Amino acid sequence: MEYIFAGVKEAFRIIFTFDAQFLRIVFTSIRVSTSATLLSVLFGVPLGIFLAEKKFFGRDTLVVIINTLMSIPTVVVGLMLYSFLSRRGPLGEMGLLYTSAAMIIGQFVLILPIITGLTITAIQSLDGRVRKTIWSMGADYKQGLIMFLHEARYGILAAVVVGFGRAFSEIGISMMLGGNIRGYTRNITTAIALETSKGEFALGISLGVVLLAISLVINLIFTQLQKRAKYELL
Amino acid sequence: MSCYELEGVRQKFNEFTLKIEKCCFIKGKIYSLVGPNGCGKSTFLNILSFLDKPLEGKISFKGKTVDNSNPREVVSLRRQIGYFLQNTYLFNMSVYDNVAYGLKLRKIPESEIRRRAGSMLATLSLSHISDKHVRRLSGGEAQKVALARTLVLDTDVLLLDEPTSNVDKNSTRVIEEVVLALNKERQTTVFVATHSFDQAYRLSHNVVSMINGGIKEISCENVFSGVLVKEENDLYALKLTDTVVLKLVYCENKLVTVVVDPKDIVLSLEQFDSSACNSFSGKINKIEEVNGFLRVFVDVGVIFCAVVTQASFHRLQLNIGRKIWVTFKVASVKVL
Repeated sequence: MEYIFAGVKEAFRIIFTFDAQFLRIVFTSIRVSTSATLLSVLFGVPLGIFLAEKKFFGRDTLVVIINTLMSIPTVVVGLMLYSFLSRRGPLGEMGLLYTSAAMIIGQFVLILPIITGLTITAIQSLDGRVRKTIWSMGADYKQGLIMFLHEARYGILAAVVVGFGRAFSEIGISMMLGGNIRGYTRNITTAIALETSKGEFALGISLGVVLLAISLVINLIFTQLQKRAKYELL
Repeated sequence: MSCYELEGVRQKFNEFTLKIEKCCFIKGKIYSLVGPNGCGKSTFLNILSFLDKPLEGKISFKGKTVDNSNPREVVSLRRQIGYFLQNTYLFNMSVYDNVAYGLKLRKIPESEIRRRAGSMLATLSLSHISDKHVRRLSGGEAQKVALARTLVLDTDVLLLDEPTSNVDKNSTRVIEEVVLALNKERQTTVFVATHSFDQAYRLSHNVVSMINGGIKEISCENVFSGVLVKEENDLYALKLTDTVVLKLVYCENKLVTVVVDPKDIVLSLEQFDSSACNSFSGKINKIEEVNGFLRVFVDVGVIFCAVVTQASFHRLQLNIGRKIWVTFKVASVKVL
């Protein structure tokens, strides 16, 4: 039991003395997951609005596939992309394996269905009169898209927050595509796994505290968004 | 000049089909659409607003055939139309931002937007709530904001789907005044869907009746309201004055509004023996020439308008102040 207390004590020392290794790991996590989330928002939100709005052959099948991919295991994404990015794979020559870029791509693939799927839900759960009102006002497609974003903003922001949370806390992709290289691709989750396997709890616990703190912030944002949405719907 | 021309238009709605063989709506006129719930008024307005494409048929707008498959053209057409939707939706923003939204879409300069939105909010007595979030408004206020958002666009055509269904009498009067002023000053063509015949006749030049997806134009003249009293021979009487009692056939409602088509009225210098049960004497108080025909207004205690040809007019030597008989059949008295 003593080694756990010692670990916790050491963990707080690491956090409050801004240990360089600790900060590098946290920064890698934030950089990779933020990049992957931004990329997913860029593609996922317009795609979600498009799929919620347009009727075409195969649309329902596509939505079912997206909903299924929302719960895809991270190791499956890792394995799939590994086969593409490894030296023998079709994209092997690009030399992306064991880089932050590979981790960003992996997390992008992981959360794109989440952001797209939740955007579809956010748009479809809008008041049925929104659509008709926007077009009757004389909006063109782009202007209409902006108003859809405005009206569904809390739902879409919630999608972004959930997506970021998923990317930030995953380990399979980071481990398989990043390789957990110290000072380069090591992020919070892969570092915790490594430190635990080494029996070094201090750094693992300090990173766990950061992970929990960020989860808390995400949850607070999410709750706040729900409150705002409820206020405006009253 | 025609504003809309519709030919062979078909559109499905609920279990009905809206069918319009051929009709033309003139620029600068106010049309009221009356009819029971579910008769197709909103479906018709959706077609006129180019929100919905009809299953079949041709629509011309300002003399040009509309190509509904060209998105750019559709947006351009929609921008010439102000459409106040039934059960309208206000965007999650302030009252002012809602009113300014359509103007922003049309890329109107900010100073002009402020001027027009401010003026419209003042006209509809909404200035004091311009910064309020729309979710904090009462039902009547929300309806007025939505109407301000439509009227501020100053479009060539206004489509108003039950614009005063949720507002008080005073606001109804103000809204009607604004619509009439827009029509008079800018020659705006207006379509108003309403359940109120009073409003229809107060506002419009033409009343269009919609029943089960069909449309029919009704005269705006010779409209009377009152309580029906049963008489002998299965006839009912509608007392307009002590001396003017209209005879009509059975109707389910006691309180009715009836219309007599001016073309169904026969004018004669003497009362004549005929099958027509409605015959009243009075004096001509106004004569108007419209499209080669003459509209003769006869005061019999109430004013009746009759349409006669130039030939009949000269043969009967009609002039203002002349005593004349107004005669029409029971079947000519249509209950609205």
